[in-house]
Amino acid sequence: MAGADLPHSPAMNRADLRLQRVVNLLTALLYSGAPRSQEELTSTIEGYPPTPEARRSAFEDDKKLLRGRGFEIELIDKRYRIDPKKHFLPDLDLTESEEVALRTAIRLVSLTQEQDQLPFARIGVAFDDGGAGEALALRAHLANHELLSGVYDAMARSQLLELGYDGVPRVVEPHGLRFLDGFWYVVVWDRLRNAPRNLRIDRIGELRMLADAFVRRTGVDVATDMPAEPWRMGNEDPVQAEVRIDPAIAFRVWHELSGRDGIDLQPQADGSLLVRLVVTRLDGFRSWLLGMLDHAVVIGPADLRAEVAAWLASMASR
Amino acid sequence: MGRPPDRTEERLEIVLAILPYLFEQRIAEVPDVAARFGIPEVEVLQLLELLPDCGLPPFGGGDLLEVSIEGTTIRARPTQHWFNRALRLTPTESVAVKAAGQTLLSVPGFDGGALRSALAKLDAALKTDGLVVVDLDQPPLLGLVQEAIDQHLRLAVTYWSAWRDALTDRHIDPLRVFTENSRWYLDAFDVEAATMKRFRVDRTLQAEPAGPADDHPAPPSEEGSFTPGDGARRVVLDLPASAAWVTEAYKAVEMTELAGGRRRVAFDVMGERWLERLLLRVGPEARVLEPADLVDLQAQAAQRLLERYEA
Repeated sequence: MAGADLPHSPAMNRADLRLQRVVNLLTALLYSGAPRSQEELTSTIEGYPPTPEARRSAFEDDKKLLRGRGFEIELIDKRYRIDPKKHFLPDLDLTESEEVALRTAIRLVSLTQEQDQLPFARIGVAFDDGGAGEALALRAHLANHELLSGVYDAMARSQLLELGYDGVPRVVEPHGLRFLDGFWYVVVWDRLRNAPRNLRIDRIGELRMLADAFVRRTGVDVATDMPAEPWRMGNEDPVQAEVRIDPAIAFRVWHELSGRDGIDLQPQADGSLLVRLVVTRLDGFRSWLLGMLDHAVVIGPADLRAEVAAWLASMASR
Repeated sequence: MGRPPDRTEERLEIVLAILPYLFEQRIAEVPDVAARFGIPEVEVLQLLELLPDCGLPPFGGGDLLEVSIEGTTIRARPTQHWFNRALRLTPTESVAVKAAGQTLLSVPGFDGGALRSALAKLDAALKTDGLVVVDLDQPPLLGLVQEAIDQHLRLAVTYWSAWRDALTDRHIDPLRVFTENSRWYLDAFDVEAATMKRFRVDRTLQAEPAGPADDHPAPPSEEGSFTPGDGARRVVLDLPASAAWVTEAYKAVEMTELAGGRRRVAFDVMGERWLERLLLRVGPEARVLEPADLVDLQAQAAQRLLERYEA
């Protein structure tokens, strides 16, 4: 084999030997057909040490590396194998425009400041598109969290999660992940409470995927089952509220709320905006309201006006 | 002298990425492979030198990977159907690509037909349809702002300043938009103020092209949606445990945990209105510790708003 006029080591170095050894081990585990024992594998693959103890240790290191990469190494009667069906994608058959679209998305959006592009090259999204791809003058940074991949893994496998949330242990069915207002939420069916819940991922303590699987419920919709409005994120008795928004910020509130379910917006002749909405969480409503300072006031009902007035009075009198 | 770090995992990743591509292409050039996968050409060559000796033990006839290189031309033959498919994305990678796709789909004005179908194919392969949803703010003027950047245009805008709690008219040269914490931000040169500023796109009431923009150096790092300008004041607050959301939502300069879950938090604040909002939302357990002239700000703001309810 002739190489190009580029430098290469005159003899195999330790790192190359290890890589070759790991590739051969992976090939054997994936494609041998039948499971193979550690002895069989390490005696036929070049690069394992001669002594049994060192050979076993090196084999464990290699298994750990492969498992760390996500390969499930099955142990069957002291013999090892990897099921290729679990680890390879079918042909995605992406068209050129679909590749370009994915490339644009992956380039512009990241979970971390430096996102590795190589995994996406695997699915056909080339690192260098020669300048093609939609040129968008924007970047998007989504928050990352160390539990995201664990939750996603359980979701994709439809397996139950055991977790602690605000100090309370729960067993849940993870149905989806939703990024909202800068935080990731896990949309779950809480088995103990027999009800849907939305758990903020940074409030989850210990997390463990259980062996038990679940059937995805048709009634849980990740996109809609979690309200985006703070006054709806509660289980209090619903209150139909009416709020007047001053002309100065009416445009912002209109943009923020128009098109949302359960919210009625009535522009007024003087440029103000009348907003009718249903409150199931008072502190969420109050926070939204007072964030508008002098530009918003509760018109009704009287009880709600009194609640807000009492809150303000508790601070005004200090 | 220590041993160089073990790059086996990283190099294995590269091998697993390029093999399916080589088997599909059958003939490829080293520079093209290097560019496609973002790897130095010398690394591609070094890896390809190793692969012909790899395969299925005990490495009899037909048990080796059929990859060869002559000059810079790579030839690959998928005789055994090994590694001729891309590896499944790991959970971390899946979240990243689905979140990226969902995010871009929620950008106003972006034509997402091809992206939707690409994501649908990925979902069908991974059986992950509907598992990830990204909700971003969708300010109506985002598209116009992007166009202004693309075409190097100045914009005349009416903007609601949160610090001043007032609408302001100004001219800006937009340079970059980005989203963080689900909000869209615009870095632009404020012509009247003669300085670079960061704006929230959703606080822009109106925007119209106003001629060509001037050239400006690239704005600083996107990281952190707020940087205090000249005139910022250091404010120290004592906040209750129930106000943990404050430090989640806003970047504190300093934070000290106190007894009972309370926190002493310092912010650089550009205007009193922002502080009023925060104090009224936190409630009567919040205290301004410094500066002295703002200690009564919460009571004053509360009284002012209360008068609308007592009228």
